[in-house]
Amino acid sequence: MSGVVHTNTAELFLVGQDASNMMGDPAGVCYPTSTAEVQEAVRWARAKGMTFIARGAGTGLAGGAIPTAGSLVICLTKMNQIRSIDVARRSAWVEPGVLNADLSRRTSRHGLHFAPDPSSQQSCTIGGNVANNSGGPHCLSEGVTSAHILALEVVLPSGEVCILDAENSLFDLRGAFVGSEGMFGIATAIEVRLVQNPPHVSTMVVGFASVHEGAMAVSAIIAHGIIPSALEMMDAPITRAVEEYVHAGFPLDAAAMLIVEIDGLEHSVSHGSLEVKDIVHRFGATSFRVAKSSAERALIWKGRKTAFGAIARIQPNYYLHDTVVPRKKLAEVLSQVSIIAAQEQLQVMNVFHAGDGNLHPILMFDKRVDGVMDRVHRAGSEIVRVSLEAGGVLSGEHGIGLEKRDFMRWMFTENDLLFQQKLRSAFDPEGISNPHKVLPRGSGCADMSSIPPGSWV
Amino acid sequence: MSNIAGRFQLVNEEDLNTCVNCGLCLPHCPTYRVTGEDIFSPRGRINLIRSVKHGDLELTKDVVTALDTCIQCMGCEPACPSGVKYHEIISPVKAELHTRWNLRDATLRCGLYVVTHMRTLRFFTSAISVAQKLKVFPQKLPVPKLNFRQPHFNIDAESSSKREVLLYTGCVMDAWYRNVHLDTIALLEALGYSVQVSGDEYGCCGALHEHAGFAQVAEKIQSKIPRPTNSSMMVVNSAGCSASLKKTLAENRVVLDINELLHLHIEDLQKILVRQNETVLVQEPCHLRHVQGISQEVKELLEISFTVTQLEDDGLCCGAGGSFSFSQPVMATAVRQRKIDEIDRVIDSISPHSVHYLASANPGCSSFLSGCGFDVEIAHPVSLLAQSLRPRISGGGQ
Repeated sequence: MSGVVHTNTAELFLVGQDASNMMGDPAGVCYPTSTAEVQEAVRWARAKGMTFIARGAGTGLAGGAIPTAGSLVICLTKMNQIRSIDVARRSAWVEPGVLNADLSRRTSRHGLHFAPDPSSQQSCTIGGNVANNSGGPHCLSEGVTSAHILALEVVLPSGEVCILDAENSLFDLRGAFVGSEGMFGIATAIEVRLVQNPPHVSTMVVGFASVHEGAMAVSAIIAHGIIPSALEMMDAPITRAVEEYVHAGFPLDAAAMLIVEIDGLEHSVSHGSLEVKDIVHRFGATSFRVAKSSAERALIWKGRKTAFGAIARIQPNYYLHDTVVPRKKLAEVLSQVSIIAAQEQLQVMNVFHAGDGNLHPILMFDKRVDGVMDRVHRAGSEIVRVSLEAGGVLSGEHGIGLEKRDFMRWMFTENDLLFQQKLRSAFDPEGISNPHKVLPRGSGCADMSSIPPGSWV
Repeated sequence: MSNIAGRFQLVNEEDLNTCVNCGLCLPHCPTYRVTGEDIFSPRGRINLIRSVKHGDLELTKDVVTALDTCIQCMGCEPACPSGVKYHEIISPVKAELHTRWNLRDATLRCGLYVVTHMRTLRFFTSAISVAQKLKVFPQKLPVPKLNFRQPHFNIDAESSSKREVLLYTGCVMDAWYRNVHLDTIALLEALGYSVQVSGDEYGCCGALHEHAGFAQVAEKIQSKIPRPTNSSMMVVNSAGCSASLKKTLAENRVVLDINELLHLHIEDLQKILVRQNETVLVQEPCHLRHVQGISQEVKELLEISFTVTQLEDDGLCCGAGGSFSFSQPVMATAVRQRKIDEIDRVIDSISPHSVHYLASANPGCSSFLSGCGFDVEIAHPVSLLAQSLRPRISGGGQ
């Protein structure tokens, strides 16, 4: 085993990072190609007294894939085969390193796709989606990853392999495993549910003169009983930044922009679109456009899904936040977010899943400026605080990782945390699988050490 | 090694800062796709370059390998939402790394010397063609079937058309693929152009040298390319060369890739091309799709005469990469295998034996793919279009 563990500094430096601003310090990295090799790696780490961490594409934003000092990174990107597709059952067995977008591309000729579509879907892996219980714009109507996992083959921290599913085990533990951020073991094969590609789709781009009006329209659409397949909002600064890059024809004069997508049978799509048009106009829409072709629709989604990257055109660093608030509090929390950013003299942009109240305020900065990290840190905490005060939660889809770990007590009681720790211990009694994540320090004896060097949250 | 690391200072800090580590480039990088390892990804390489530049990381053998194995296909650039100018980061680094001497490197230097000396290149071409006839030339090498003598240009000298165009003939393109030039001339003349050929005076464009990291040699070659004033438009039918010449001659003359020029006349072509009952699979050269942004144009042109199928791999590189397949054979072969698997998958999904041609607009890709015993004929899109010209108009290329 030691022969295939890479320990050169360059590689360790790279697998010590993900898409967050944190940095870890692993002792080795390996690339297993089968369940047996993952078992071997886990057993090897255990025997050496090392902790281990599963890694996919490293696109996470909450530091869930940042290895703690001295751990073995088990990188699953070489396990990238789609083992089987069952068209009749609408399911597929895939390995954890299969890319989210590749899965939908491969199943498209059967008229099927994997519903969760995080913005990083072209790069992120299904294994990572399982670990973070990933969402995405189209999860509004289809549900997040946990609603699409039929079975899991898991290498437990003990090195044993078990199957988690609804049919063959005493307890259905899929719900516990999905979203466990790599702390319960490593999924080595995943049976996913595939959903039918919609026969008709209507994608609308609506401009508003204020964020408040846009947010009110979002609430009204849902209150009216319409569940769009996606309902996204972008504020003026991010719309401008994105438009410069994608040229999707976004309304540059609007203070806020909604992307509303309705899919289904032809009649219900046309009826739903008319209702949406009616509602948004009642809430003062300043522009309304329907995508005329699939190319136009693809461009709109490209703009939405690569929005955060366009920030580099403004500032070299960003902190992409992730909290959830009740829909009817959207407008209120958004204005608080802009006040917080102004107080800390930071630029902020908003691009988010408005339909389910999942905010993504993006704080922009240049980390080379003295003291800026402290301001970013303070603004981040304040955003969490106002979101929770509005009745929201810590994270919508990025996960807790290291980023939100120390905020857990703001939301959960000691008792809540204790039971979470007990569940974790049931899977991983020694605390060797991705330790020091999610559960705050002191909530369990196994998680006492500090955040890795270089991290700032 | 440390003095080389010092020269990483040439990489612009702002270019490095544009990368926010998001990872959206990963699936668009052929070497990451085949390895799944961060060290062989654009994000990883940028991180390494930044750290070496800042003195946080030593320029170890692993770092050099990571940088040497970048094909420079530029697939990551259009995929990057932050607009990272990856070529600005990797080019100076590649140039600095090229100070080693070993057998492979020496052979590469010889090869790159030959392409700038047309008489020598033609001599070797004839010699290889004899070896191929005698079946003593290794079939595995990425060399297409060559002719002992090249067919002559047959230019319509009587043409008094005001639409003048200069066909850039190049080095390997002329020695190995003269037929593509004849087909280009046939199409352009059918469209009413008066065509001149650049000939050996223009020679190599230096793209291969620049790509391989021989920046100074490339600069010298490029400075020798004639720059006449008030000149006609130049058309280039090798994607790698058109990308390079557009840059070199940016201030001197209009340079168009042949696919670009033909696409401007798509309506005229619809009148003069006949339908063929055959299917073409398009392989998109990186320097056409990623560097010049020409993609759907080729498909639309071929659709005039053929049923066209595309690969579903976002134009991922085939591994040829100029001289990359020679200098990094292991990585290049792995990348090529992925391309072949993708081609096979698409062909199988239609029905076997239903694809007649693989169209590729770059000689490097064509020869590299021809070296792996494909049973589908590889052809330049221009040749496929030329064979669809209505017989009464077809003049050249006979």
